[in-house]
Amino acid sequence: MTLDEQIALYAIGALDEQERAEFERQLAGSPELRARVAEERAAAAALMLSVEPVAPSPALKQKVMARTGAPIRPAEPPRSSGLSDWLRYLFGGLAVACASLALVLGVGLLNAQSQLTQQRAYNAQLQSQLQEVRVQLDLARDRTAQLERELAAAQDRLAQAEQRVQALQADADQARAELTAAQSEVERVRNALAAAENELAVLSQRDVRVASIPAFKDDFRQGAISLFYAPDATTALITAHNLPPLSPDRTYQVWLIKGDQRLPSEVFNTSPDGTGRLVVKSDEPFSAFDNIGITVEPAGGRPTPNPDGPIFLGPLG
Amino acid sequence: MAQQHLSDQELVAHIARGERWAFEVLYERYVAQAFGLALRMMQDRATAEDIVQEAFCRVWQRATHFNVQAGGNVRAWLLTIVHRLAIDTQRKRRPNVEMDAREDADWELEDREADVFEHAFANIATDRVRAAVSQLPERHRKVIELSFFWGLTHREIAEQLGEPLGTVHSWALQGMNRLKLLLRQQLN
Repeated sequence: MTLDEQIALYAIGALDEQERAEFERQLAGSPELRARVAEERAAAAALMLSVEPVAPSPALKQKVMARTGAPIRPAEPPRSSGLSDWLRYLFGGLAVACASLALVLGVGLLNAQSQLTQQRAYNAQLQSQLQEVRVQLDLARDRTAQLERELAAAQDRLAQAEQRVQALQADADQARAELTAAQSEVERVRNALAAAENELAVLSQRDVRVASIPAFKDDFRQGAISLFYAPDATTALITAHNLPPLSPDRTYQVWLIKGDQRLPSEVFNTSPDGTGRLVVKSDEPFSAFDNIGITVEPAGGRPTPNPDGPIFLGPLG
Repeated sequence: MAQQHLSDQELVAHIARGERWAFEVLYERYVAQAFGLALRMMQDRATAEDIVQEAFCRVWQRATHFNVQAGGNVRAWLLTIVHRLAIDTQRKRRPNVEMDAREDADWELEDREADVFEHAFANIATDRVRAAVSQLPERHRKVIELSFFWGLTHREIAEQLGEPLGTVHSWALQGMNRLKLLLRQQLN
């Protein structure tokens, strides 16, 4: 609170008791500050002059005068006029009766005036109360308008926040999709790398040989199957070219043949361009097998070969 | 009444000598304004009448202390007493309000407070004061009136108006500056 604000609040009596006591300590030591405060308080006190006068009840005067010991001034006696003396002289009792009638009428008039005064006072009181109600109503209206403005501002902020949340949500969704795609790509690359490493391991073995497996059925004459293997190893690489693509419910399956035994091995499908590579694992060295065959089987492969026979079949040299 | 033409200062000089007719003239002259102020502040006729009664009793008791020679403003003195009594009554009614520690102090305080009316503002006609007040911006007028007529502290005003304390301080300052300016314009 600045000194100017302190002076203003002190002048209108708005400082708390403690604040006022502290301010008055400053005031005591500063004639300059006292002069500033005097003008400020005079301005505030002038507000008292702005209040509408209101007549109190007649009883108040009696109470005040009783407390101060000041007697209420008695009503001045009616002055005797020459006319009434003359009437009293002329008409005696009649004049007294007329005077009595006038007194009754006068009392009635005074009562009526008293009632009128009270009614005016009551009206003034109502006016004052009405004025206060208007002030309170103005306050309430201002407060309502202010609250409405604050509510509108809050709604705007909420709408903006919701828009930001929606935008962030969309960004998050996009980032999540990109992350998923990136994870898939990483997985794909990782698998490709692993496959390449396996293939490289096969091709890096000592005494690697290549066996070309001929087509056994005419429909596959344009295709080529090659087997890269070392006789003493248990893993080999099969490459395929120009194989016709299969429907999703079918697959190519490798068979290792030893005598009458047809041992099921890996299954594979080719790319759309008809190529494929596959590392085949065996429990025994490849020198233990006589032939290798390829069949078309239901997706997932089978434990026994297709009765229609192999599409490729050839010896291991 | 023959004494009606006497000035306020002359009446108080007579009151100081214990002349009760002067007190009665002064009462008739200002009771409506005193009661209007008390009623405005208390909103209750009975309490307002009690305050006006007390105020006039203090004028009667303190008339000898009033500085007639310095041309003190009698009406302002009376209204200041009414205002002070009303503020004290309001604060007694409100819970959790620390009472004015000077409540029982010497009533010379009121005499001194009335000195503020030696300033020219005390001589402005009532209708001109009303004109100045009516020109105050609403929020400034409310802060001043809530404090001056309702006896609220700045914290209570901030709470009632739902405004930050700093805003109330600022409005009070701006309101008072504006009021002084308007009163000076009315003087001119």
